[in-house]
Amino acid sequence: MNVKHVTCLAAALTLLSGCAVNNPEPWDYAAFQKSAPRSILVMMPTSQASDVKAGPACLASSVQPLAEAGYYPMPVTMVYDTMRFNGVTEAGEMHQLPLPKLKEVFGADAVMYIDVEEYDTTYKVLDSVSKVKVKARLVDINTGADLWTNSFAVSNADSTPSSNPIAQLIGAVVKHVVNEAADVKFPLSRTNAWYLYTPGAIRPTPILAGPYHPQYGNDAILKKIEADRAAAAGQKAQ
Amino acid sequence: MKTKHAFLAAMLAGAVLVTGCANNERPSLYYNSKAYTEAMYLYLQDDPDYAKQLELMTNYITQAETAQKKPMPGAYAHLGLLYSKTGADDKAQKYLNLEREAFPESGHYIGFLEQQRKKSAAVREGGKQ
Repeated sequence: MNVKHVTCLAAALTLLSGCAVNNPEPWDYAAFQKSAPRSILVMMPTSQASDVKAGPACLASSVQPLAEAGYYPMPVTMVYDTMRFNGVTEAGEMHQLPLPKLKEVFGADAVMYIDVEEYDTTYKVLDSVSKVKVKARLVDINTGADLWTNSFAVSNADSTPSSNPIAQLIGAVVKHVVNEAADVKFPLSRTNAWYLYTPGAIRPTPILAGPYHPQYGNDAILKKIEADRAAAAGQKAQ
Repeated sequence: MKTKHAFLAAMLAGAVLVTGCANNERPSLYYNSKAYTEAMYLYLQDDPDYAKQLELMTNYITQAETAQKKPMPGAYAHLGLLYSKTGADDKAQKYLNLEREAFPESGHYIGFLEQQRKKSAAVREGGKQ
């Protein structure tokens, strides 16, 4: 998937969520803007799923979108090896490592903690659905402050079921076979990561653009929050 | 005259809609390919087929060079890691240096790894005596 696809998806999604989201409290981006991280240490994700590929898939899938978002993700494979080489082998343990130690070794500006909440294929009588749900949290490596957090889920559930029972049956069998044979959750994890880590893609709390991104410092979400604030202040003044 | 203005206004509105979308279609910052993500995915699963992963990564870097686009952050580093896994230390160092040149953000960490290697080499040398 390229950047064009993502922006189109993002635009479509914005249209949808613009109606769906019931104006929740906007995320406070002040700490994120103040921290202005360039480099992000993305840790091996913890996972609630039984599939051992969940962590590797969601970690590998995060690199490309975060890079296109304008950040420097620390080389995830080398980072994983460094931790294992030093006796920290489990993702859960990695997430417990003290920030000063991480800064000393990796010299990153921020740490991304990912938790794979769902990475499953559900088999029904005539159908099977794969779902990937990921929660991500970005933390300032110096202060430990939460800079950003969000979660997102994608699935390959068929949204337009055919009314023909035979076609339904064939479709279900084909999908069942596909879900069974191919590693369908890996492509889903890639799609999920493009949403989660593309600036502006998911409302109301998208990740901000990083220093290599042309929109760095000019995120649409910041302008919107600013405008909403000004409007609210204007209403109060009247 | 009035209809002409209305027509122009409609044209402009259409143009705004179209360009509004086109503006979002920025060129990608790097050479995009699934190959790099797939190579990382295999490595993170402890797939022992380093030859296949090396092929994915060398192809990716070659294609990026041909397209005259910058490889993704970490791509040189990952190729260097694969070379170090297969005992090609000179090539490993070459690609770590390329990573550091392309992305100074990696300098601290790569420096740390070089220090660690020097230390373990010193320990090995000491053991021999």
